[in-house]
Amino acid sequence: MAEADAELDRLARELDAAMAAFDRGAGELRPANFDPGYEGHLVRTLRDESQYLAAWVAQVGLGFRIAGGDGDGDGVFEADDARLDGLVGPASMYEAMRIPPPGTDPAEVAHWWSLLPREVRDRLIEEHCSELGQLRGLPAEDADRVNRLRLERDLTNLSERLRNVELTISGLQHTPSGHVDPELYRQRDELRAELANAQKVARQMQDLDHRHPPGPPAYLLTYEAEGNGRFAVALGNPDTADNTGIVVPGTGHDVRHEGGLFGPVGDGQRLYDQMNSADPGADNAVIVWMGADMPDEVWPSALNGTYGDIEHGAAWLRDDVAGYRAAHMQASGGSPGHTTVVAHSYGSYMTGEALEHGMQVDDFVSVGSAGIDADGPAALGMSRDHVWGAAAPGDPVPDIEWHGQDPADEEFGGTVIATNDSEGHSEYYKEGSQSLANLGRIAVGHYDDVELRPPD
Amino acid sequence: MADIEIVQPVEGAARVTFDYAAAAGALDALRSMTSRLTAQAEARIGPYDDVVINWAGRYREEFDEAWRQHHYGFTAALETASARAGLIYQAIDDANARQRALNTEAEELALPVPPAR
Repeated sequence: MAEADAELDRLARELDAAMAAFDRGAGELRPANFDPGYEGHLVRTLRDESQYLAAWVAQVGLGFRIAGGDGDGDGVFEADDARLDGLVGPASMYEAMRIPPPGTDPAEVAHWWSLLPREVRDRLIEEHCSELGQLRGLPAEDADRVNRLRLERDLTNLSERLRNVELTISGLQHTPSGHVDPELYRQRDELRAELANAQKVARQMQDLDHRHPPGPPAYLLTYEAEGNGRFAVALGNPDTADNTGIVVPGTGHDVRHEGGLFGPVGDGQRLYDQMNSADPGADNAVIVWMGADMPDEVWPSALNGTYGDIEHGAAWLRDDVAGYRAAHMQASGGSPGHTTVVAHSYGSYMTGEALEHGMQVDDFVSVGSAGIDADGPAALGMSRDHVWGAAAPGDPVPDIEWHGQDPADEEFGGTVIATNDSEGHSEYYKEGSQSLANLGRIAVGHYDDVELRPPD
Repeated sequence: MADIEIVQPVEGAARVTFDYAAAAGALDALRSMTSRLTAQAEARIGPYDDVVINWAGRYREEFDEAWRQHHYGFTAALETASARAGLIYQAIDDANARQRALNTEAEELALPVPPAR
């Protein structure tokens, strides 16, 4: 079959060349709407369909054997069809290529994707990265390809669109009236902001890809340029990791803010190193999640509660984490792995909201919390020995408790970790600190090694 | 090379802007597409004999439907090749018609001017 597919490939190339030559040479007599790539495309489609069907037949054949379909040994596989469901996708390539709508259950997405042959996945990524970028549950490697492609295309498209709008504005400014529709200024500002978001993500990924010494592979799991931007990067492959730490930063850390990405990514790298120190034999990964609009600054933005988009932010965090878990379960035979969210400041408030609305993780560590709007671990759907709080000496934020109780307050009912050599609001991930060591131990599930703060 | 009619320019006539060789090449490619796709469609059922003979149940039905659709794709591609060849022949006819017009124009210009009365 491979040789037959290669023959279709050759035929497609020959058609491309011959039709392009005709197209060039026909001059004014070129037939209307003549597409010189049409025949080649048709033949390639037939090749892809053939490849897909062959792969499908192989899958079903394997499925029959796995399901022990030939019970009476007569060579005819009368397998119980229901037992094959879930082992194979649809026979029609077009049906298989139908992309699920945004909001589809990540487990369904992960399953759908797993049934597609590699060639079909490649084609979908190349041709439909925008739609795929709206889904949760894709494996990290493919999500990374999808998002990097979207980023690359955004950088080009947004630059072009911005240039066009700027030229239009400039042209109108030079007319006798000089009137420019305010809508054009709004469009220009929006495009500038989106382009700046895309450029920041591109710089961050470039930095991760070329760091010295090289770190674990970086996967761009979430990317949006619109609005305040959304960004999540994994250090190490979370689909295959035994332990995954998810870093959720606080106030001032979203894509739009200048320098908003680099701090949390550095925190993530230190947590990743610490997890490897705590359990060198385990496969560890860290996801740095900046998928929400965060308040601009603590005072007054975060305090008055009207800044930041807590509702969407918490829902996105919950749904993104569900996507990571679904991808892990698909890749690891149903195991979700061990997942710990480490959330700082306003991020812990958001994480609390996400937990209250159904986010599933194994451990939640709140550091320098801005307060959580919950009565205790049970309200978060967790037990007290999996909800951890930390408040460093001299950190004023946990004392304010403006969004609710601080998990580092014993009354909250969680477990309080020691952070003796950290000072103030921004040293929970400090290299070599007791705080970071404890975060690493929790994230790899070495609970007995965690140093606790002595009771008051 | 496809056998196509090419109207040559007469002496003094402009040459129509049309690449006859490329048009003939495109027709050859389409003819090749037809024969090779037919061969492919016929050859591709062979590897699936095992499916047709040894499968029973819903997945066999699904295969039959997918195969029917796939085979239909080959047939549709053959029809497309034929329709597209028609377009190219039409372009050749148009080029010839234009060349004939240019030839006629040149011939009329070459006619001796009748003496004035």
